[in-house]
Amino acid sequence: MADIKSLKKIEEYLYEIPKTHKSGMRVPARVYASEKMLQEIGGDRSLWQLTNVATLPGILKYALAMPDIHEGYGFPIGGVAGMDYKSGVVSPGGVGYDINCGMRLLRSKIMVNDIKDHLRAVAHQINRDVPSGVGRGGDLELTPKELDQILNKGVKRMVELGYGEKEDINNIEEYGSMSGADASKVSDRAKKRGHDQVGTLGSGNHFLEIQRVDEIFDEKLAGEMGMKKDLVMVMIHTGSRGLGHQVCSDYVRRLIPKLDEWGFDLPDRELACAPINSIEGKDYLAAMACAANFAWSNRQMINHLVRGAWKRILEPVGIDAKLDLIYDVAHNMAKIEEHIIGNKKTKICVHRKGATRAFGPGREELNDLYKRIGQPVLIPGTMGTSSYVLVGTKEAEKQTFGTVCHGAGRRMSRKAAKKRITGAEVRKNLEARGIMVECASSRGLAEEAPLAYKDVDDVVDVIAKAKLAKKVVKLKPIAVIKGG
Amino acid sequence: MKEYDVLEHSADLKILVRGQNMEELFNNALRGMFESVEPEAVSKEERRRKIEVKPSDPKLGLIDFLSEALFQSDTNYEAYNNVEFDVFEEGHIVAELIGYPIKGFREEIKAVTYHDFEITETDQGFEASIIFDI
Repeated sequence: MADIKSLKKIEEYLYEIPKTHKSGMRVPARVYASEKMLQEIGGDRSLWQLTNVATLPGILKYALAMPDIHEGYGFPIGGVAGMDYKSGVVSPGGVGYDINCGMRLLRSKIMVNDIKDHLRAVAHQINRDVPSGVGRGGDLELTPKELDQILNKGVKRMVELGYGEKEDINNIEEYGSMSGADASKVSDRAKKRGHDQVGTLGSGNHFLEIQRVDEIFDEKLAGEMGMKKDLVMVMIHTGSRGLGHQVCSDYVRRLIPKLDEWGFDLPDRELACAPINSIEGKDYLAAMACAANFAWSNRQMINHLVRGAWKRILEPVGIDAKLDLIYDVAHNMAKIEEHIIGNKKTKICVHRKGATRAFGPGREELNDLYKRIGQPVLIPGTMGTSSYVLVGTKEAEKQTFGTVCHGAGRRMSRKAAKKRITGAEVRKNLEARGIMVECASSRGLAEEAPLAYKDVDDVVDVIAKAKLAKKVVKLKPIAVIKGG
Repeated sequence: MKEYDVLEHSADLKILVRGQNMEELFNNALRGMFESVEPEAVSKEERRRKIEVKPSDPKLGLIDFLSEALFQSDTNYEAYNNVEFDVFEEGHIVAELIGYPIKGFREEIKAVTYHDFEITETDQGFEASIIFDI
């Protein structure tokens, strides 16, 4: 079992477990962390899971872990692996069940003082208009044909249907539409789970927050993104709901019986994988792309509903109610990308499980603005703590296949959190700090209490000091809306 | 013998399930899965769903059975607290899930994972730990 004693310091904020640590490791495992974080990282089985990732066929350079690493299943959360496109594998468990769980950030036209008197009404309206969808569907029920169009085209289809603006498409990773999506590779069961879930938030750590810009680290970059101190923002965190969960379940189940045939001896069934160029590998990537499109469409629909709530409350009192999309980025995904490996441009499949793409300036995949300044990276904190906007760097492309962390990372189980604090106390603490809470479930609040998570400031500091991303602004919540 | 316990897991839901025989183990796992996420009942009306499961690997029948129950729950807005087996063989299960309509769960189970899953024999029968992605 790998523990922190197995880690060798490579440089400040970077530790390595050599590939000689256990048999089967094809590459070393590397962890980005501060010394302070290592004890916590060693407290669960995430390092063991990371060394398991290092055994996967075709893995290149290192199995990587971001500073928010914690125990998952198969891959650790915060795990990153780049596989050679020709000889490597794709692992549905390396993406996770919530395919394209991700973050979206909207910029308002108003300052925190402008919304002060209307905040409760706005938060309440958003809570009414955006269903959690846990146990019931959203307002949009799709026929099989309509759902297939969304799976194949993603946000482009949502905008055609009137759920958003053309400019939104320009500010979404992959422009909200993954190439290679093929709805025929998604099972009818997955479609049945997803047909009424577009525009639903889900439960757990999924949330909507109204935030203000609290601190600016880089005036120029913040200005380029239209952000200034005290500007009001909206952050959305959710994923592909039941459709994505079923796609992952279907493909893990399909791959397990094939492992022997491919000669894969894996240390964990959740690492079940297929050669990227096998029929199964190609089918998974096509189905995963559909689930990714579904998740972007889900966030697009929620975006549309939030815009509606914003207008309904603020326009009658003469406040400019426009909300513009800054960026939408995934943190559970496998992507075919080109990276420099040993001085050679190489096509690889990058798995990011609880990790965010963070491309630096110049990447062809980005729109004109972000090609110039680097891709926005959206890192949510926990309820009541800070969230961050950063931009990716060329250094991240060199070191981590253009990847950084995805959040604070859990340090305590939900059960342990509930023992330490009640939902009522969490609500009281937040409201004492001027943060409004709209959440039906007090227990849900306790399970997601800030004490259950690592300190997001520490996590982001490691990323910035390792030069994987540049801090742009820090955001603080003024209202939290949670599904369950 | 306690049917199941919820264990510590930093990110997800882990339960340890026990049963005197395999049918009881499956039934207790079903109950443990749904009770752990606290369904909110709409009524006490009994709902029955016929299911058939052909596991991809006979050793993984419990996971595939629970995944099927999760699918039925998610698409019919129901929670299940009992199961009657018509066929209970390695590699083939035909059963009827018994439950009730729900408004929702306090916490949503995304999936039943295969991570670290193993059924072990004990003095009192069988036990298995199961991790759910939530």
